[in-house]
Formats: sequence, structure tokens, C-alpha cells
Amino acid sequence: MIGLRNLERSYPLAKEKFFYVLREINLEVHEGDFVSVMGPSGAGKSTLLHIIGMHDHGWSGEYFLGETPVHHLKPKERATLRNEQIGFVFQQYHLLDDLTVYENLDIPLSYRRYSKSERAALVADMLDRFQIVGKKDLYPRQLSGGQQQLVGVARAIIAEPKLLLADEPTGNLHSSQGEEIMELFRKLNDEGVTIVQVTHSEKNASYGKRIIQLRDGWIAKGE
Amino acid sequence: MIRDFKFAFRQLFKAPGFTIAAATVLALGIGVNTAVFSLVNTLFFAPPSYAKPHEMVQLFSQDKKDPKKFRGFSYPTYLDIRQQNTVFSDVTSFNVAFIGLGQKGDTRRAFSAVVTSNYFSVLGVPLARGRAFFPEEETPGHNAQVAIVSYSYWAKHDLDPGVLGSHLLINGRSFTIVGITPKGFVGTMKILSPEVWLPMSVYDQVANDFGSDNKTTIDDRKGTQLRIMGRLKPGMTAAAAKPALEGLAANLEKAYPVEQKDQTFMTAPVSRNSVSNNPGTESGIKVIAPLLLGMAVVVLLVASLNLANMLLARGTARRKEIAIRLALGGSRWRIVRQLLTEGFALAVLGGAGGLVLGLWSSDFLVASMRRLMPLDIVWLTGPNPAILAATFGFCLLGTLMFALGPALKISRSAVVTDLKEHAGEDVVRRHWKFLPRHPLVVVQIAFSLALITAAALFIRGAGKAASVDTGLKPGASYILEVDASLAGYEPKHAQELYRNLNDRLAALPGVEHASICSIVPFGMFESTRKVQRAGLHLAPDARPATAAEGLAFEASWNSVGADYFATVGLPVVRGRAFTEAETTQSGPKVAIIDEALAKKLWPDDDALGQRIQYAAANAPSASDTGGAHAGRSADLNEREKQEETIEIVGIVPSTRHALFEKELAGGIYLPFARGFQSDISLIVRFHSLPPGNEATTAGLLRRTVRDLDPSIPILSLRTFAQHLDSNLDLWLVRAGAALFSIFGGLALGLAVVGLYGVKAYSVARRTREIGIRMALGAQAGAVLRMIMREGSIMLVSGVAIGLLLAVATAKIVSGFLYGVGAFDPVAFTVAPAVLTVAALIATWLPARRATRVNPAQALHAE
Repeated sequence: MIGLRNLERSYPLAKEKFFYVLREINLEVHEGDFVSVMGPSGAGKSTLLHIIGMHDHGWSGEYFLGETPVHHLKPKERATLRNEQIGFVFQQYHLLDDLTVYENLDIPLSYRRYSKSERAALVADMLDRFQIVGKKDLYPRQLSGGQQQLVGVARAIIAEPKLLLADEPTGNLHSSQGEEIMELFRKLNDEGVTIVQVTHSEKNASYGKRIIQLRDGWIAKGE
Repeated sequence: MIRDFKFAFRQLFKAPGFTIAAATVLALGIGVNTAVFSLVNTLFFAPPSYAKPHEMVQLFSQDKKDPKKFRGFSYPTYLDIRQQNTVFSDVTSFNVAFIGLGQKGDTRRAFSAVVTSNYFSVLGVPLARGRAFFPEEETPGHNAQVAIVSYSYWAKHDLDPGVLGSHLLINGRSFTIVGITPKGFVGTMKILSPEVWLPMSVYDQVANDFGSDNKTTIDDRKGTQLRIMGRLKPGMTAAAAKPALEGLAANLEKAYPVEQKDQTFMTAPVSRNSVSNNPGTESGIKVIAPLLLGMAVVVLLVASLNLANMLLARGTARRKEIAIRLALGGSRWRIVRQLLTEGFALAVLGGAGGLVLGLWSSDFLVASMRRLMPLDIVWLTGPNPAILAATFGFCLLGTLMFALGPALKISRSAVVTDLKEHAGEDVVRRHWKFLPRHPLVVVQIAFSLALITAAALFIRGAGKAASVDTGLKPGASYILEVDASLAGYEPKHAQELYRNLNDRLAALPGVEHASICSIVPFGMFESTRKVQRAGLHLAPDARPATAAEGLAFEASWNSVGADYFATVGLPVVRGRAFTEAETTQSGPKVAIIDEALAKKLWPDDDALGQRIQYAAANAPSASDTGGAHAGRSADLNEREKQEETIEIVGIVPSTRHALFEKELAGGIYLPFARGFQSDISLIVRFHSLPPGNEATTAGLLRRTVRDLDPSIPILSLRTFAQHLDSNLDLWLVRAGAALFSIFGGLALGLAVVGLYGVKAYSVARRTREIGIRMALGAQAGAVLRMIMREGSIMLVSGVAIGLLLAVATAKIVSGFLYGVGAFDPVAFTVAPAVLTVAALIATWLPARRATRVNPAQALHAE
């Protein structure tokens, strides 16, 4: 599903020198895979995730999403592709604070071609599926961290993405909440969603099918 | 407190960009207020330039039967009042006159006051140099050729001590300077100061003649030339003085039943802005003061709202700092005090800038007025205690307006959450989402729209005023103003000179017509006469209702040459123009009237060939105004009023006589020989005036005058178009338009900057939110639309409220508009359109920036 060939990401330093965050990344992720990217801080894990998520365009090399050569797409085409295929879960949840749970779930749909009634149905379905119907009118501040991340995951998959990218999804949660989220990921993966997660936790990584180790921008293990 | 100030200034220096922007916004708001306050204070509140002004009153002669009517005093009446009154410690008398000042051939018009010898002592003003007038120098017939000059006249001569005792040429006669007034003394009026004070004995020499061929002399008890001021005795009040003054008036009426008929005396505060014989003439200008102050305060309000928004935004970024202060034990009041101190420090910086800006604006206004009027404008625009105090007051007011609200809001901090919260994140939860995000910006937009609409109304008025149809078609004409009396000519010789000059000008190559006239329409002066049908002898208490019964009509008056109507492009529609003989010799009494006056005098009959007469001053008339126009009196001698009947030999179309005349009053034209005056204008109409030839043509006209007599002073020479352009009414309308444009422009600028600032700050603070939205699929267009939609909600709300405010403002200013209704559709369309376009651009710029947020970076920044 994902094919990365000689992918590199660098930032210019003084006098035509570059600081490389990612070097010669070659990676294949198959459909239905559940990949955990691990490594110390500064290894380039989040950068890799944002490149796969097409938020970062300043890289070189080749990136195929399915059959589509992302490296040949213009930013607008990439945005369209991302909207069709990818969902995101963040460590800090990144719910919008002045929107209710219901409205937060509705946001990704509002950016895609869904009618109002379709959106309402999908949000209702998601609230029901995650058992948060009673919290739909609450604001993020009124939820616990685990509940917020639950909403974050629900929001990530509401537009039915084929690929779910998660950046330290349990980093801000205590262990029982973290387990709950990881179980949810496993369930989603079982349902056919491809997942790439960045994590520091061996335990969380064990929920995945494959582990990639990054060090100083290079893939050290699991290519 | 000192620590608060230290910290406040440290905070301001730490953020120089914010400080400069905020101080500039405040400087604009405070500067406008300082400038307007400076003007209003000078005109209405600043103490007069004479001693103990609360003791001084002006005396008015009022018609008991028609209390709206007032008149001046004669010199003998002044002497009677001075000797017989029991309420004043002393009284003084004066009037003003335009004089020709300077060497022959290089004369300029100047403003003078003709005063009694005790003028300076009654006012309690010691002269800077020299002496006041001696009592004998005031006695009619004495003709004391002495003068006292103003400090600014002295300053123009580099404060040369030799000015005292030197000679001054006034109206062609030499006067010795015997005194110099102290700095800042402007007589009884504010701003407009006489340049020269002359003794009463020369009144008849210098008083402006107004077309009457038989003037009342200063010693004639029938005269009404003078104004009287008195200093009340210690402990005496104006109210307590009333019965005594009425008693004095009654005694004088008994003693002089003809001259003092129906006259009583009343007092009022000494007029600060005119030398009128009517105490009600200042009411109009008094309305302008609160209007100007109100508009200026609105600008300060808009500036303060702008700043309040900036402080709120900054306060959001400082939430963590406030939370720490609270966590460390600071009380809310202590935090509010700190924030208010920071606000005040900012206001002081803005106030300093505002003071400079305000004083500069005042200087600019004075310079503009000086260019227009031949008067010595004395406006001490430098910083004085009142202006400094007012500016300080504006700083305090501004601080309360812009800093208190944000201080109260920001200090309401939730310590735990704010300490945890992402630094500077804009996470305020809004329960009323349908309301705009930034209500202060909405209010700013609303007030700005009101000011912009007012500006649009005034600009429209100025545009219409500039293109007003005068009714005249003078074509390519020049106006040459001369006054032979200033070169020492007696009326008889002056008349001969003018006839020669008229002939020479008419014979110049390219000249189509040339004509003399005593009054040029739309100039600084106009003259009116009351006329009625001839042959009527009304009972003293008659109240005629129609022209046939003897009702008189006030008409604009002019004395003109034979070729006048052809020169100004006014066809004689019935009858004939004046003959050459009629305009140069005192022949049969004939007049040409306009259609408006003809219609009033003979509504159902033909006015041509009929006879009219001047009506007595107190005759019932259809348009009693109770006051004289600028410098022109309607005084007529009894013979002129009652005995002369004048045949109407021609009728011309009606024209405006004043630029902003609402209703055509009617006009009467006499042959120049029947209405001689020394200060005349010659209108010279050319077949055409090729562009670029102005200097040559003006040189030719000047040479023609010089060839005839080089000593004749040319008081002005300009084209008819230039003459119209310098019309005082037009200047006032344009000044209003300029002033409101400045108010409106500032308000527009501040509102747009405010909107931009809020949106730009909001976008910067919402980078995370925008990043999340983009990470969740929002494309650039969606983000752009989101920011634009939020801006548009503010804009629409502001415009809706602003239109209501604009309607109220338009109602208030409607009395000052020319040619446009209060709800002029163009102004009410253009103003919101301009604001909308500007506001949309101000929103679009940060919105475009928002679309460039890189979600990876925005989220990574966490």
C-alpha cells in the first residue's frame, strides 16, 4: 500500500550544508499491515509519519500510495488523495477546543464531499460505535485524556480511511486508557484498516505486526 | 506604583513593534482630540485676552416692539450711556473696519478696530509699548492721525523698537504709531485680531462706506455704527443691572424720541467670535463645537477599541504570566493595576505623539485660514496648560477606554488550566457562536462607518457647492478690485478715475465687456436694502400683509456700470440696461430689479415702469434677519428711505446673491453713480482666455491701472473662477469636508488596521487549529473561506450597526450640509462600500497567510 524509495528529508544549514532528518528510506507497507515505528527522540519518526500523511512536501525520493506516485502529484492533488485515504491520530489529541465532540467528529466530513444528512448519519454511527453518544455535546476540556483520544481516533476514521497514521497515540494517557486505545487499533486493523503508528512503547508496538526502528534518520531495523 | 511603571515600560520596550503600533494608533486618536480641543477651547473656553472677563458685558440696543431686532449705537448715545449709567464702572465703544494698509501702490487690506480712548483701560490691558489714546483723540472732528498696532504687526517688523513713533499709511493717510498691544491680545474676538487700533475721531475717515451716498457721520445721533462694552461695577451682576439699563433707555427715549424710538438696552456676554449688534449671532458656531468634539471623541473611541483589541490579544499571550502572578499570591486588583499602568504608560507615549500631531494640525488650519482671509489670525497654537491638561485628560480617558476592559478580562485567569495550557493558545470557549468573535472590532467598524458616512455627506456637499449654478455666466472674466480712497482720492475724483479706468479696460485687445460694480456676487461682502412699492405712507403701527399694502422686502443691493449685465452674462429680459449717462452722472432715479423681487413686489402685475422706494429700517418686511452681513450695514439716511422713488427700467433673471442662498431673495441694481463707493471691482470679460496666458493677462490689467495712476492700490486681481473658488462659504463647506474626511479617514484606517490586526493575530494564534483542520482534510480554499467568513460576520454586523449610527449622525450634521439630504443615497452607498472593500482586503491578507500554514510544522511545534 505504501512504497517509499530512497526517500530523504533535509533542512538547509549555513553554506550549502544540509541537516538530514531522514536518509535513504526504503519501506514497503502492505494493505492490512500494522506497522510500529520506533526509535529515540529526533530519529525522524514523526517526520516520516507526516511525509506519509502528505503534510510535509519538502522531501525527495519516491512515494507510492497504492499505485499512485505521490512524488509526481501537485500539493492540491496530494491533499485530495490524503482526504480520500488517510486518517490521523495525534499524541495531543488535537481536538478543537471550542467545538463539541459532535462538531469535532463532523469536521473531517465537512472537508469532504458528504451531504449534510450523510454527515449526520456517519457522526451518529461513530458516536454509537465508540459509545460516546452521551458526550456528544461536551467540549474537549470536559473530557478525560482517554475520552479525548477516543474522540481523536473516532474523528480519524470517520471518513473511512484505508490508512490510519498515529503519532504517539497513547503518549498522554495512563496505562489503562492506553491499552483501551491500542485494543481499538487492533480491532480497526482486524477490520482491514492499515495502521502506521509512531511509539516509544514496546508494549504498544507489540500490538502491531511489524516494527521499524529508526536511528538518526536511517532505518536501523525492519526495512 | 513606581515598580509598576518600571515594569510597564520594560514590557513596552520588550515589544517595540507592538509599542510603536499602539502608540501610533493612540497618537492619531489623541492628536485629533487635541487639535479640536485647541480650536474649541480658543473659540469658546479660553479666557479672553483682557482682564476680569466676568465683569465685562456687551450692551445691545433692542427694539421693544420687535425684540428680535437689534441695532448699534451712535457716538452721542455712547457718551450719554457712559455719563448717565449707574451700573458700569466704565463703558467703551468700538467698531471694526477694513483699511488699506501700506505704501501707495503696495497696499494690502487689513482689519482694524476704531475705539474710544478708554478702550484699553476698560479692558484692563496695559500696552506692551507706548501709550493709549488721549481723550481728545477720540473727539469727532479732531482727526487724530495716531494708531496702536498689534504685537503680531510688531513681530512682522522684527520687534523693531523703532516701530513706535514711526509712520503708517492707512487709506493713503499717514498715522503715527503711538502704542503696541501686548502679545496675545486680540481685542474682544478670539482668533481674528485687528492689526491696528485707531481713535474714534477718525471713524468717518476709515469706516467702510456701503453704497450709501449720504452716510451718517460719527457725531450724528441717528447713527448706529458703534458697539458698546461695559465693565460692571464690583458686586454688580448683569441681572441686577437690567432695571437700571432699561430705565436709562427710557430716559434717553424721552430725551430723543425720534432717534431712540422703541429702543431699550440689554446686556449679554461680550461676543467672542463677532462684532455683531445682535447677541444671537454666535448660536450657529456654538452648535459646531460639541459636534466637532463629539466626532473627535468617536475617533478616540475607535482608536481605543483598536488598542483594546491589541491588548486583549497580547493579554491572551500573557495568560501564563498572569497565571503565575496569581499563583504567586498577586491579587486580581494588583494585576488590574499593573495592566492599567501599562495602558497608561502606552497612553502617555501616544499622548506625546498626539500633542505634536494636534499642534501641527492647528498650525495647518491657521495657515489655511490665513490664506483665505485678509485678517490677522492670532491663534496661540503652542502647548499651553489647558491643552496639556486636555491631552493628559485624553490619555486618562483613553486608558480607561482601552485598558480597563482587557485588564479586567485578562486578570480573570484560571490558574491551573492556564499554567497547563499551550502558551498563547487562543482557546476561549464561546457559548454564543452566532455572535462575532471580536465584538470590539464590530463596534469599531460601526463607529467608523458613521464617520465615513458623515465624511461622504460633506464631500458630496462640497462637490455640489463647487459646481453650484450661480445664475451668472461671466465667461472668461477677471475681477480687479481697487480703492481710490486708499490713494487719497475724494469720491468725486474717484468716480472720474473709475470711469476712465473702465473705458481703458474695455478698450484692451480681446476684451468683450468691462463694467464697474460695488459688490461682486459671492465675495466677502454683500449689501441689502429693504424696498417697497413707492408712494405709500404707512401709519407707524401699520402691519401690512402684502406688497400692495406696503410690505417691504429685503433685497440684495448692488450699484453697477452700464455694461454690467452683458459682462456677467445676465440678459435684460424686459425693459433696458442702464445708459452710460445714468451710471456716470446723477440723473433720474432708475433701477433694474430681478424677476424674484419683481414677483414679490407686483405678484399680479408688471413691475416694469413701476416705482419703488427704500423702506424705513423698522418697516414690516417679509424677511427680517435682524443682523447685518459681513462688514456691510443696511443703514440708510431718512431722505434715501422715504423721499426718493425709483423707477424700474429693466428686469433681469434672478441669480443667487450668496453661494448658499436657499431661497432667491431678490435683487436690486442701481446705476453706479447712484450708489458710489470707493472700494469697487471692475469685471473684465475677455472673448477667451487661452490657457497659460493668465500671467500675461493679469500683467496687462495691472499695467492699465498703473498707467492711469500708479498710486491706486490693486486690492485683488483674479479670474471669476478663482473668485468663486475662494468664497468663504465654499471654504467652510470644504473645511467641513476636509475635517470630516480626516475623521472618516482616520476611523476607516483604524478600523481596517484593527480588523487586520485582529485577524492576523488570530491566524497566528490559531496556527495549531488551522494545522489540525488541514491535517483533517481542509484545503486552502476551505481555510480561506473560514477566515473570510469570520471576518465577514464581523463586517456585516459592524455595517448593520454602523448604518444605524450613520443615520443618527447624518441627522445631527444635516444642518451643516449643502445641497445633499441627510440620507443621500450616494453617500449611504459609497461609505459602506468603501468600508466593506477595505475590510475585506484587511481580512483577506491574513486569511491568505492562514492557507500557507504547514500542518506538519504547526503540529510539530507542539
